Amino acid sequence: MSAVLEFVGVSKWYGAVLGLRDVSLQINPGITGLLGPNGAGKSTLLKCMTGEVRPSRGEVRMFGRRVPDPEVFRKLGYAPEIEVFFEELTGREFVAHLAEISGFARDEADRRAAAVLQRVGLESAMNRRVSTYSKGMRQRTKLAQAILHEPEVVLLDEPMTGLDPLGRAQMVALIQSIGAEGRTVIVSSHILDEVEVMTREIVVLYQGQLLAQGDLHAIRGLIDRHPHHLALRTPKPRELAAALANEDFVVALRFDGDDRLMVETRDPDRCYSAVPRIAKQLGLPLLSLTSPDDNLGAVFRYLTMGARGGAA
Amino acid sequence: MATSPSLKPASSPAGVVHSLAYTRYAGPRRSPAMVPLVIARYALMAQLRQRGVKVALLVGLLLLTIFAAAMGFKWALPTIVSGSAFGGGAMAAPQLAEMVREGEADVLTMTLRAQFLPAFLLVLWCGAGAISADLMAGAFQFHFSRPVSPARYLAGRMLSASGWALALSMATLLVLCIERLAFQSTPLGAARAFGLGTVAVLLELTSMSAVALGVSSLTRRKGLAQAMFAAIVFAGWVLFRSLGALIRAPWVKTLDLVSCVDAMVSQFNHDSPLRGAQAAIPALAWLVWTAGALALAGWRLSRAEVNRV
Repeated sequence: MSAVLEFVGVSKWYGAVLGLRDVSLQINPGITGLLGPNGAGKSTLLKCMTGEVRPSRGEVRMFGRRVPDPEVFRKLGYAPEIEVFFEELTGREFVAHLAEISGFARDEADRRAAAVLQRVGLESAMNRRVSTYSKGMRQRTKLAQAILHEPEVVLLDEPMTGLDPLGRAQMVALIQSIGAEGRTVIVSSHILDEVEVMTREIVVLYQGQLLAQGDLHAIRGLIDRHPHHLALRTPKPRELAAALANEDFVVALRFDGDDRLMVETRDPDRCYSAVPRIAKQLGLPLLSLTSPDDNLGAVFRYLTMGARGGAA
Repeated sequence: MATSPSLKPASSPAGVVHSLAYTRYAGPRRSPAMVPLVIARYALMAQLRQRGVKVALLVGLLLLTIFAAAMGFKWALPTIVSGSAFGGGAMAAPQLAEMVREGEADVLTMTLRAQFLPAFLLVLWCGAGAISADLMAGAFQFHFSRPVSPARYLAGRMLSASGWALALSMATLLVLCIERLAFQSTPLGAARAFGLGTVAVLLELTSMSAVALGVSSLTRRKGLAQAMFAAIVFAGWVLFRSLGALIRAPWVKTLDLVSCVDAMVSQFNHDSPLRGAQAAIPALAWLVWTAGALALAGWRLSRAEVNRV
């Protein structure tokens, strides 16, 4: 079975400016987080999928067919980053309009528009003009138009932008529910925490290049230039530190407050199993054992530092 | 590979295929050929909520009323006079035929004259800013990530740019034709005037809309696009008229966007000064304006990505 989305050696130049450089990747069903700082090429990558941007080199394939292809676009839902759209129309008319363009009959388009706007929580505002919508409502409207025709692939460009914390939580839940339906959802974002809540599958772009792709934890494991950090909480951290100092998997130890010990290791699996054992041997209670850098923020930082040639 | 949708998506660095057996909508879909009509319908709906469009339509209706009253009076007067004590009896047949011919010519001329200003304002408002607004907002993404080709998008914008102006002009034409039928003309004569009038209205609005969209595709700034369109209409008219007078070549006066249609209407009415090969010049000018503007807009749309960087 071929991948839903496939980039094969895709490069894109805007005149002298590089948008993407030799990107090859495959994306499959489920939610994938598309990450990268501003100018990394996230939007260009998405636009290559929608056919809006033609690669200067290489090709993009969706369901095995080369993009752009009208048949492929029937299976695609896209919520662009823009916030201004047909202001004179009501939310319901706007979504119904795009449903009709997607090929639904007028009545069916209106029915679907009402249903999908209800799903995204705009049932009470759907008959108001878009010009009166807040940023959050616009984001929901964009999401609604992206999923109303039941596409298999949903591309969301910065869907959290402009949302308040509650709105973000609701948007995350919505996106999770769309992904749980078995669709291929690609979410571009620079808000790492929310991407991490949504998915462990990530694609990291940096300066137009593909920096990493795959499961977040596995990617972290591949970054061997950076020791993993473990945070231990115990009433007597110095006793535990003395014992751990003899272990060859420990690279460095640091005290952080009265009851907290930071351990740097290049072999986190051995460390995870050894620390509780040693604490038990010493008769020390181990209050917590966490990994502060096994998260998206840290991985992203390490990856982009590496790409910049930053110090480990 | 089909698994339950409730399963958590698998994740693996090796890139395992995660099929959750999602079934997409497979019901009936309308032909993409309907896309221009859908784009136009929603655009016309949105335009009707804009103050400028409402004002232009009201001006158009006012002018329709004034012209209908004036022309009705003009066409009814001979009938009233010939039937009165002052009329001196029935009109001679050649005189009557000439009056009927003039009346039918009036239908074409007056339809275009009555609605020129409202039509210009409506095309300026609805057409000259249409693509610019989409460029500015990045709204192409809503259209072109769907099965919509640039040609169909452009056709939809053409219809929406000229829709309200067409409605006004056709209403004017219809009223004038009904008056003709009531006061002077035969059903055949009124039908002929309606047919020719329809062609004239379509020629005028097609070229105006095409040029409006052409300039609109050149810039993201709606105001600039509207200014460029107005300049083409009015400055073009002044320029070619002056040039034609200067070099004493009547055909040069028919080269601008407005005059080429006027010249063709004169040809319909058999009172054009252009003879021989020169008679084809207004039609050629119309074709150059229309095809050139559409080609420009089409080219810009096909390279829409350029506008977004």
